[in-house]
Amino acid sequence: MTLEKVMNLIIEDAKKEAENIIKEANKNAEQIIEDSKKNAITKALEEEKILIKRAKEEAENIRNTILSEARIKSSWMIIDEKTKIINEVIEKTKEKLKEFTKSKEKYTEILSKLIINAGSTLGGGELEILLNKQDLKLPLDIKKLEKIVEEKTGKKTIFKIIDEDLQTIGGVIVRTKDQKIIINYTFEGIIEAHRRYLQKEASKILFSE
Amino acid sequence: MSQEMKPLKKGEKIIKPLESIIETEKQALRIIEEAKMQAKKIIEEAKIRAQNEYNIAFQENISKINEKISAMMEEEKQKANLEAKKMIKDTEDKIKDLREKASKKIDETIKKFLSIILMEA
Repeated sequence: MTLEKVMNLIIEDAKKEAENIIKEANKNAEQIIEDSKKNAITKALEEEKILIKRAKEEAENIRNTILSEARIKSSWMIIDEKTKIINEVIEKTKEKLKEFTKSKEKYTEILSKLIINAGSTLGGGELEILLNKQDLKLPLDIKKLEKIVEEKTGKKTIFKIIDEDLQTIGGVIVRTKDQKIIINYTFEGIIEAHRRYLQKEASKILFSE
Repeated sequence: MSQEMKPLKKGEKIIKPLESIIETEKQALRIIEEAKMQAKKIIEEAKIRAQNEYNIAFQENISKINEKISAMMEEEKQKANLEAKKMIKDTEDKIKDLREKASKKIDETIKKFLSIILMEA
């Protein structure tokens, strides 16, 4: 074998070895990339479990919020409707009271009683009576009313009718002469004073099963 | 430069062919060394590529998961909205029923109101 052949052989062997090294490196490189992709999928799947769990919790919260808002809205709708119905009844009651004021005899009797009650509550004395335009024409026996209040309170009582164009469907306002104490026995005043009680009673009748 | 491998005569110097072989060996080592360096580079590049591939694959999967989650959330939201809508519809029916029943008791309530109001007298 010539020296040249030996030298060629050495170089050839080296080249083959080099080729193997590169081949092996490429193989390893592919494996590294492949492993990396697999790791990414594994990691993503792990992440998926956490994200799904979190999403389920969030979805549950959203659901609860939506349903809770709907429940609150429903409750308000019912309360609103009940309030509307009660207010309608109050308005109808006012109409009835207005009609009642036309029944002169009965109404005058009620008005007289209201004046006596107010006068007694104020303790008698010099008192002013306020009525609406229509009621100013009623045949009220003021002297008789004064006498009854006097008997009840033991104090001399004088009622003075004041024409102040009281805006009311009916009833009366009685006040002390100095206007420091006022009793509002107009029908609107009585309704307002008893509104809560009226609503409670109306609920019992209208909305009980 | 070709040289025949003839038997050396007595005293003939063998230095020159040995030098050539040593040189060739060195060259061969350089080739292998170069290949090793190249292999190292391939692995280094593969590691960088692997990181990129990891990020891409991870992001792709996460995007799919997020899409799945969004769809799931939307479905749950729609279900809840439907339930809420039904609840409101039921309430509207309940209100109709409430008004119908109440309308039958309005006169009774007015009577009660009148008795309370006129009781002041």
